Amino acid sequence: MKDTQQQRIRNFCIIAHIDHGKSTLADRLLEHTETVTERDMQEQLLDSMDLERERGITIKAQAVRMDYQAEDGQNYVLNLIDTPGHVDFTYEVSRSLNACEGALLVIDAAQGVEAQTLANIYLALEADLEIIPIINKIDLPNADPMRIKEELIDIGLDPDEAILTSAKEGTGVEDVLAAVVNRVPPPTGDVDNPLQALIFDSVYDPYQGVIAYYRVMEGSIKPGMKIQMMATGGQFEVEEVGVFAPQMVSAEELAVGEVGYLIAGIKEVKQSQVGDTITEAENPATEALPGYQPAKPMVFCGLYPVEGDDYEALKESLERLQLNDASLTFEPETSEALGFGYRCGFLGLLHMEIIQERLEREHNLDLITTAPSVIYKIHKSDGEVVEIENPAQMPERQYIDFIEEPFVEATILLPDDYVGSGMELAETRRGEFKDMQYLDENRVKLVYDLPLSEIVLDFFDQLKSVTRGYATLDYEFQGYRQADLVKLDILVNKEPVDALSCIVHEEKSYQIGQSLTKKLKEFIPQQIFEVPVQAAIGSKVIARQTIRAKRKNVLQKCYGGDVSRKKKLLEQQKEGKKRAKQVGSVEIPQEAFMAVLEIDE
Amino acid sequence: MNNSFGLYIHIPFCISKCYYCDYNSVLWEPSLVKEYLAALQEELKLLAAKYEHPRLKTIFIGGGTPSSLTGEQIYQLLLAVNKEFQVSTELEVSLEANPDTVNSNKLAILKEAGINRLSLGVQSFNNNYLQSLGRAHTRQEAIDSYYLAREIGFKNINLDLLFAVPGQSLADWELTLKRAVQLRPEHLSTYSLEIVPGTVFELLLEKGSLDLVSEQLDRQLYERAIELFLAAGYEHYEICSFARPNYSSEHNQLYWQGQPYLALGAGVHFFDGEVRGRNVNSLSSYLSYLEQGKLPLDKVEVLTMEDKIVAKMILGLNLRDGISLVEFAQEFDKELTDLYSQEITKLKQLGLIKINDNRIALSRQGLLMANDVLAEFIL
Repeated sequence: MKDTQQQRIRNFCIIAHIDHGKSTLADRLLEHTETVTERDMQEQLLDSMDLERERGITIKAQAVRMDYQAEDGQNYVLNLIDTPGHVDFTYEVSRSLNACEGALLVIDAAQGVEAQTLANIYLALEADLEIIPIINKIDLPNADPMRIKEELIDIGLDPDEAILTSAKEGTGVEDVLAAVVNRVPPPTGDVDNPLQALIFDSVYDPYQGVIAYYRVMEGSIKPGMKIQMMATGGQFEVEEVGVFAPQMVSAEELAVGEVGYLIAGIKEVKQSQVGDTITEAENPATEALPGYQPAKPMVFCGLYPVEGDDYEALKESLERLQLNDASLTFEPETSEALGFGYRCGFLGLLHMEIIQERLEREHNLDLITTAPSVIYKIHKSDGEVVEIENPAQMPERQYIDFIEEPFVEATILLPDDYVGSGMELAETRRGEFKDMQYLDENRVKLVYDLPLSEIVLDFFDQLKSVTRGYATLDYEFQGYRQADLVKLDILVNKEPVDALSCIVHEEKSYQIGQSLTKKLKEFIPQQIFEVPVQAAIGSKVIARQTIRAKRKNVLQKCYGGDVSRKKKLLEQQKEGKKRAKQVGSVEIPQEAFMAVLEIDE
Repeated sequence: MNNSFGLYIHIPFCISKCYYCDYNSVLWEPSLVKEYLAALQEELKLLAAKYEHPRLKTIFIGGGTPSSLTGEQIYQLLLAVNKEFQVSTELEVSLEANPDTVNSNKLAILKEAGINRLSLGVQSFNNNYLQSLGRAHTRQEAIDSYYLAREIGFKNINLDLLFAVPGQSLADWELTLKRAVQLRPEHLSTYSLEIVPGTVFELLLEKGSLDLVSEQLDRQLYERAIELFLAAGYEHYEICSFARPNYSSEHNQLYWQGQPYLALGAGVHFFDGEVRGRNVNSLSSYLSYLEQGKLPLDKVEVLTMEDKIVAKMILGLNLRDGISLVEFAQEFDKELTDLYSQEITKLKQLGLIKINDNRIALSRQGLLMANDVLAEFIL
């Protein structure tokens, strides 16, 4: 018992599936500890981005400090670290968990454990956290706490320790706070050791630069101190440290066990990466905290402005987003069909969607997105290995020895009625069956190894649709495997359209070629000549559709010498052609590029 | 150079609005008609003065339904034209008439007034389609009005026929075509029905209650018209127009040949050789302009060389004998085939245009694709 202050800190997070009530519970805790008055309470305070609130997901981690007087009459500091709730952000979640000693596991009393929750429970167990199960929404008419308790046993948790709550009605909130104090251990670490602080998030603020969120694991930190990022190497002088109450309140010093922020003239979040260790430059720790991984994009796509003039605006917007998002990458790319754009890298599909949506919504850009792809390793005949994330970079077939693609282990939880359709879908997506378990009488866990490329092509949407929305999915990167992959080119009127090329499994190439050509036939308007739409591997055409030539125009009356009307009509016709992307002599409308992204098999 | 013009006069009144029509027209109302005619007289004076009382090549009274006016009103109108412009006796003077708005008395006065070409808005000889189009006349009225006009002595009559009417079959259309040919008019015009915004048909289309003619059938209907008209001795001189020898519409030819024409009335378009423009569309602002003694111009543009070339192309190619390469070079000091070399190569390859005897024209196939072909010539 070195420091009584340290003994009265509790650092914890909340693990929950979307909609299971994490945000509502967090709100109740804040109200109950009078951290925020009810009047100031923005509905669901922690999810601050509009997008987050709309989708009910958390993208950035957040932290809040609560002062709480426990039954023993002592005042405790409770730090709640909110974690992102999506598979794309597993690494971020694991770092947040490592900043805590305990976790509240919130489970919906009607719906039970979901795949994402399960994945996060494993992460929490790995981080050696004290897990406090909370069965929430007991006010629901179809709540079944007994069944949920059985599920807890299956995961290896003690059902008797579960707390029943209704965050909506405020039931059980006091019990939760008491459990945090009594069951979550105080932070370990020594204030006299050299500084080690774990960064679990960084945000960019246009006025103050980067604000790093961290947990002090050893030592202490205060303004004026020269710090060093142990992985990325940057050195900075601390200007301000503080805590979240929940607004930022500066402090003289943050000692071991505490959670807070620092401002140190850091220009971009890349210099303050999640998982990195902050130490004192002049008195460094001997080693960094374990587990750091540089942000690494897994999914790629081309983003092109619909209006060519927006190219610069797109660049500026991407740069601005990148200030706040170390995992977003982009580099210029040119497509014959789409013009100038950027090849962007994302952590996963959700991350990709979020960035697209923010570009379109907050930055007011109209974008064309090419089909998402992953990083392939091409082993060339001369022994060289190249990594490509764009089908356009694929070497010609004769120079390729073999190709490897990324695989993930996917965990699918679904009601047993849908096991058949779930398995069928996984298998059509080249999934390899690994495991199947009943979580309870009705719920099944399926584990498959799946190519990431199949997941990025609307796998989750399909899974939702074959299970009527009941399935949940989580996946984890496994490694690279050899596969028979080919580059499928699409030719319109015999001209290849680079933006429509994709890398597919040879066995499925025929089917995908069929479906792509059919889609395009729907969306490319009839021209005055016949237009073949072909799918080809190398020089071999594997699918063909023909867009029949237009047969007749309407014969309008040119009335009363109204030349302007006629000219306007013809100009519109011509303008429509201009807006479309000209490929050879055929105009392909933008919708065609969009449409091919939704390949339904 | 341009000391003679065609003259278009717009009569925007109709007894009822047809279901497919989005032209500038309002419901016929005696006091409004009077006001409008007074305004036309005023505009006529202003316009004639502006162009120094030029010679006219043709006169065309269109609408709306010009025949909704009384014979006397039209007579007075043409009298005023005669006074303000130089008009010769051989001049083509056309009037559009709907079969339900003519009788022998009115036709006689029209003839007296100088109308020598009558364009009858027949559209169909099938009562079902006439009804579904919202036309105010029957098949019999159309035939009667035609014979009546002949009796009165009209020697140049056009019939307008509309095809691709929802529900129409090839057999239905053939009956209309054959009936039209039997009447032996000097001129026939035929258009396909287009569903445009602001019409009853648009509403019906949205409700899904229109049995639209397929593109394929539309083409067959058009081709059948060409076949039957050619067989009956008509010349196909413009995409939509057919005439017995020497009876092609002089006024319409002015448009296609890019020659200047003046225009009177609300919402009319004109081209005086340098300037293209239009009058204000709404009747009330038209009237108020003239009350103040001002020409009711809405928009005028001085044509650039490029505008003129485009107009030449998109108009001239409507004519079956197309555009003379020699005349083009004289007019614009440029070779048409150089200016549009890429487009011409492409369109020739596709068999949509032909160049023969120093003229460029649509091929038979190009007729069907006229809009697509013409759009290529927009600069």
